[in-house]
Amino acid sequence: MKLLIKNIFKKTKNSIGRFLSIMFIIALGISVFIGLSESTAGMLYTADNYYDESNLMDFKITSTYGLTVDDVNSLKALNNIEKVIPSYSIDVIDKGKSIRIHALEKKINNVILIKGQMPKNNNECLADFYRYKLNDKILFENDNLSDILSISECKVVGLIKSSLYVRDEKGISNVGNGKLVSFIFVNREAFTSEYYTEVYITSKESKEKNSYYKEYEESIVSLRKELEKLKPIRETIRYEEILLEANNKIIKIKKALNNKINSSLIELKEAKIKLYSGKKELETNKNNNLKKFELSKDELNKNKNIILSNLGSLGINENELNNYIFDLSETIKNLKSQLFLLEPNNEEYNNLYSQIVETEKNYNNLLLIKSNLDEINKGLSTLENNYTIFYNEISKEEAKLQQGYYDYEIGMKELEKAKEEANQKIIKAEKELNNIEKPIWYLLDRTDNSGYISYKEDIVKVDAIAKVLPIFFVIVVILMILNTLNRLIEEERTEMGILLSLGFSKINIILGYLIYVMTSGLLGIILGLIIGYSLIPHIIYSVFLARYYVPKLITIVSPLPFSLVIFVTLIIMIFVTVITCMKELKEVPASLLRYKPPKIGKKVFIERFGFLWIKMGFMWNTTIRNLFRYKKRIIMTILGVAGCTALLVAGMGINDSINTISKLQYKEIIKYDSMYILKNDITQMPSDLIELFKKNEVVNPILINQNAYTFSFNNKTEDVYLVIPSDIVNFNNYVNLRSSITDKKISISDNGAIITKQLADYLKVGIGDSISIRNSNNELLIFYVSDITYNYVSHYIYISENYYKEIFKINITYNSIIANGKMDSNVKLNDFDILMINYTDDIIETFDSFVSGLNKIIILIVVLACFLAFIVLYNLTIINVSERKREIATFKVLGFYDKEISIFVYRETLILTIIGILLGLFGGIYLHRFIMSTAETDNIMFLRKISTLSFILSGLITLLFSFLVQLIINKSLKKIDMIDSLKSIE
Amino acid sequence: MYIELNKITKKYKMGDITIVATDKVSFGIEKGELAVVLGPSGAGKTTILNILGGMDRCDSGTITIDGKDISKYSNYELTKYRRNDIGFVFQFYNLVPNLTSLENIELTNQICTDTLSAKEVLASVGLKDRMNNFPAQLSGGEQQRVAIARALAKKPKILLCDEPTGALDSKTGQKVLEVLQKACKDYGMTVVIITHNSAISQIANRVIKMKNGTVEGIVINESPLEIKEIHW
Repeated sequence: MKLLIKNIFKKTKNSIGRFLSIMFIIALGISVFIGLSESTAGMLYTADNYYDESNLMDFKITSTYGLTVDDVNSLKALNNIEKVIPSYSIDVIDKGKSIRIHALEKKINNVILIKGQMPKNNNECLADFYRYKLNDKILFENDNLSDILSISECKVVGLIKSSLYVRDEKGISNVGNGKLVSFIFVNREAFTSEYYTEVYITSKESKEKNSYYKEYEESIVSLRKELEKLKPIRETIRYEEILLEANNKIIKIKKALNNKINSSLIELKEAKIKLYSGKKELETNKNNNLKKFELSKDELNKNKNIILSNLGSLGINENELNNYIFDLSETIKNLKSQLFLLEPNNEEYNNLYSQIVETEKNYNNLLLIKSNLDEINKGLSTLENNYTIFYNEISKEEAKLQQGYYDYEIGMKELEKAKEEANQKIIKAEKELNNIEKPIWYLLDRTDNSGYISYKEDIVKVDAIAKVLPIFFVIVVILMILNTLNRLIEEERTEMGILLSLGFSKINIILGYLIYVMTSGLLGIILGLIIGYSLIPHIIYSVFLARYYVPKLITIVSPLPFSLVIFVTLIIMIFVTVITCMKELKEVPASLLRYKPPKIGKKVFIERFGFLWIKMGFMWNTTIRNLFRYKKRIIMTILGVAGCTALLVAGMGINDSINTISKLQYKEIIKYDSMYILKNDITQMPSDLIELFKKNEVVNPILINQNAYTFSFNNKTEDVYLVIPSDIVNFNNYVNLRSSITDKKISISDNGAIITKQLADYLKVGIGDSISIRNSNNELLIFYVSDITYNYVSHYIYISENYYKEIFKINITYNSIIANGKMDSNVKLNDFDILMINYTDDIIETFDSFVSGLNKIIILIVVLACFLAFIVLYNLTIINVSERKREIATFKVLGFYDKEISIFVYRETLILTIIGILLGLFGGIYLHRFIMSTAETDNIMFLRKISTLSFILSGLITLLFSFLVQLIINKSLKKIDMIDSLKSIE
Repeated sequence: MYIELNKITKKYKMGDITIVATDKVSFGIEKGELAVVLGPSGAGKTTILNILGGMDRCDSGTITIDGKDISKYSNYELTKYRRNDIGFVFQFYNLVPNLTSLENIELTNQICTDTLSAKEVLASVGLKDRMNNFPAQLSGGEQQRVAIARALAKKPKILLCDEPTGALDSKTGQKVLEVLQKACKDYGMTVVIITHNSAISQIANRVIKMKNGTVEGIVINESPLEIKEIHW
C-alpha cells in the first residue's frame, strides 16, 4: 500500500496538468455554486445584523391628528411590546428638494455616525452621509414650521447612515415635488409640536429573528394583533377628545362674544342717557338766557321809548335828531355871528343873546338826549350781538347732541350686525365640529419602508439568477468530472494490469486511485469554497452598494449548501472512480496489459446518401464519421459550448437591455433638456420668468403639473408621477407618447389618462379599465385608462387639464416648467421662485452610473462563462487527442504536416463548437428573457431585445476560446511521439 | 549508393542510464533492391528504421538518400520526406480504425500528388472485395495488406517494413511478402524489411546483419529465393 501511495504521488507529479485540470473543474463548479447561492444569504444576514445593531423599529404608528401621551401609555400597556418610543418628524424643503427631519432617539433607529460628532444644541444636526458634508448649513425653505419646530435652519455637525434609509429611493414626501431625497436628525428638543408625530415600537422576541425570513414575520404577529385591536379604541378615544375640545372652544367663543355685545350695549345706553341730560341742560340754559335777553331788551326799549317820546314831544323823531342837532349848532353859529355884528347891550343884541342861550340850552339838551339814546342803542346792539353769539353756541350744542343721537343709532345698528355675525360664527364652528373626521392610525411595519422591502426584492431577483446559473454550471461540471475521471482510469489500464498481475488486491488498487482523485478533488473543493465564499458574494454585493446604503458584507456559511456541495462532489468522484476501476479490473490482467483498442469505426447514416457523401469530400467524411464515433463527447461538447454561449448571450443581452434604456428613455421619449421646479403653484407663466428664459436662450417653456403619487400591486407600493401639461400640442414635442398597442403616436385627451406600459403591466389593466393611485394623505384617486404608452424608466400618468378638473374638482395650477436649453448656472433661482432645475443630461448620468454597477454582474457572468467554455473545450479536446493518440501518430508517420493534423483534429471540435454556438445563441435568448423578467426593478422596464452585435460577439468569443484551446492542443499534438505511440507491445 | 548510412549513433537516456541503441552503424542500399535488416531483439534495427524513415533523428553520423543528407533536415522537411518519399508498414498495421480499407488508402492519396488509384492498389494486393470493410472486420493478413497498399499507393521511393509478418502465421506472411516483392519488382521501389526472422532474409538482394547496435556484416545475395521456397 505504501508503494501504491508513492506511485500515486509520482503520478501526480508527472501528470500535474491532469491533476490540476480535475482540481480546477471542481473549484470552478463549487465556487460558482457556493458563490451564487450563498451571496444572497450573506446579504440578508448583513442587513439583518445592521437592523439589529441599529435597533430598527418593528412598527411605526402615525395618526392624522398626531399622537398623545395617553396613546403612548396605552401602547406601553400591551403585552408583546418591548419599547415604545414617541418621536417627531417633519418634511421640509432644502435647496428645492424634500428632506425629512427626524428627532434623534437614543433607543431606537440608531444612526451610525461616520464622521463628525453628535449635535450639542438644537441648531446642530446629523445629516445623510450620502448627500451632505460637515458644516453644511441646511435652511428650511418652507413656512409655518414654528408650530412644530423651534429652528428654521441647522448646521451639519455629523454625517450618518440610518437603517431607516437603506436605499437611494427614500419614498414620498408631502412637501416639494413629492419625492423624498434625504434626511437629517436633530435633537428631540428642537421639536415644539404639541403632539407626537409618530411612535416607534419594537416587539419582544423579534430581534433574535432574521428580518427577511418568515420567522421574523411570525415573531411580530402577536404584537401586530394587539396593535390592530388597540387602533380603533384609541382612534375613538382621540376622536371624542377632539370633539370635546372643539365643543369647549365653541362655548368659550360664545361667552366671549356675548360679553362683548353686552358691554357695548351698556356703553351705548349710557351715552344715550348723557345725551338726554345734555339736551335738557342746554334747553334750560337757552330758555334762561333768552328770558334775560328779553328783559334787558325790554328795559332798554322802555328807556328808549321815553327818550323818543320826549323827543317826540319836541317834535323830533329819532332819525331827525342828528340833523336837528347839526341845524341847532349851525343856528347857534349864525346867531353868534349875528351877535358879533350887533352892539352889545341893545335889545336886539340881548334878544339875540337870550335867543342864543336858549338855543344853546336846547342844543345841549338835545346832545344829552342823543348821548342817552346812543347809549341805549349801543346797549341794544350789544344785547343783540350777545344774543346771536349765544344762539350760535346753543345751535352748536344742539348739533352735537344731534350727532350723539346719530352715533348712538349707528352704534345700535352695528351692534345688531356684530350680534348677527357672532351667531354666524358660532353656527359655523358648530358645523365644523360636526365635520371633524375621526382620526386614523396608520400601523406601519418595516415592509412599508421602501428601502427595507426593495432590498429583499432585489435579492430575490439575484437569487433567481443565482439559482439557474449554478445548476447549469454544476451539470456541466459533473459531466466534465465524469468524463475526465473515466478517461483517467482508462489511460491507467496498463498500470492496473501490471499491479494486478503483481498481486495487488483490487481494493488496494482502487484505493490508490481514490487517493489520487480525492486529493485533487479536495483541493478543488477547498479552492472553490474559498473563491465561492469570498470573491463572488463581494462582487454581487458591490453592485447592491450602488443603490443600497448598507454596511460591509458579512459572509455566512449556511450548513446545508456547504455540506451538500462537499458531500455531492465527493460522492460523485468516489462513485465514478470505483465504478470505472471495477469495470477495468473485471478484465484479466493479460488483456489489461494490452492496449485498449480504439472504438470501431462505423458507417453513419449520411453515407446512405451516397451522392451527398462523396460531394462532401473525403476529409469531411472522416470527420463526420469520427463525430459519430464518440457520441458521449459530441453531446458533452455541444452542451458545454451551448451553455457557455448562452451565458455570454444572456450576459451581453442584459448589458444591451440595460444600456439601451437611458438612450431610449431620455432621447426617444423624454425630449426636453430641463425641468424647472417652482416654489409656488401658478396658473400663468410669470413675466419675469419669460424674460429670464429669453435671456438664457431657454426655448419653448411649457407649464406642467407633475406630482408623485403611489400605486400598489402584489402587496408592493411604487411611486408614479401624474403629469398635466398646460399645452398638449407642445407637450407632444417634449414627451413622445406612442401607443404600445397600436404603435402610433398618441395625444392626451379629455376622456381619460394615458398610462405607461410597465404601470399597465403591473396593474394588469388595458384601455377602458380604470386605475387607482393614492396621494400622500392616502386618498384614493381613480382614473380611466384611455391609452398605454411606451416608457422605460419610472411610471407616469398623463392627463389633460379638463380631466384633472373632473377628477380633482378643482382648477389646475402648475408647479413645474419643461423647456429646451440650459440656464446659466449663475442665475439666482430663488429670485425667480424656482426651487431647482433638473437637467435631463444629469439624469442620464445618474442612470448610467447605476447601470455600470449592474455591468459588474454581467462581467462576472461573462468571465465565469468564459472559464467554463475554456475548461470544457480544453478537457474534451485533450480527451479526444489522448484517446486517438495512436491514430494521430499514424497520421504523422504517413507524413501529415502538423498543420494538417491540427486542422483534422480541430475540424471535429469546430463543427461541434459551431453546433453548440448555434444552440447556445437560441438558448441565450431564453436565458436572457428569464433573467430579465426576474431582474426587472419595479420602476425600470428592460427591453427584451438583444443586439445583433451581442450575438455575434458571443459566438466569436466562444469560437475564440475554441481557437485558443486548439493552440494549446497543437502543442500537445506536436509532442505526440510517433515511435512511442506506435510502439507495439511485445 | 541510393541509401547511405554513415556512422549512425543513437543514444537514449533513461533516467541516469544512457543506452546506446546504435553505435556508428554504416551501410548502403542500391536503388530497387529488396534489403533485409536482420538481427535479434535489441540489436538496434528498429532505431535504424525510425531514423531512415525520418521518424527519429540520430545523434551523430549522416544518412544520404538519393544524394540528400536527411540528418540535417528540419522537422518540416522530415515530414515532407515521410510524406513524399517513404512508405511504412508496421507489425501492427496501424490502420485508421474508422476508415474503410479503401478510405485508409485514400487517406494517403489526400496528401500526395502522384498516386496510384486506391482501388487498383487494393486489387493488386488481392483485397478488391474487402474495400468497404473497416479494419476491425479484416483478418490480420488482410489488414497488413491494406497497410502495404496504403504505403504503395503514394508511390514512395523507399518502402520501410517493420516486422511485417511478425504478427502473422507463415502462410499469411508469405502472401504479405509476395506483395512486397512485387512492389519492388513492378514499381522499382527500394524495400527495406526489418525482421528477426532469418528465413525472410533469403528473399533479399542484400542482408544487413545487426547485433548490439552495430553492423555485424553485409551479405549480397546474388540469387534470392522465391517466396514460395521459404518457410518459418
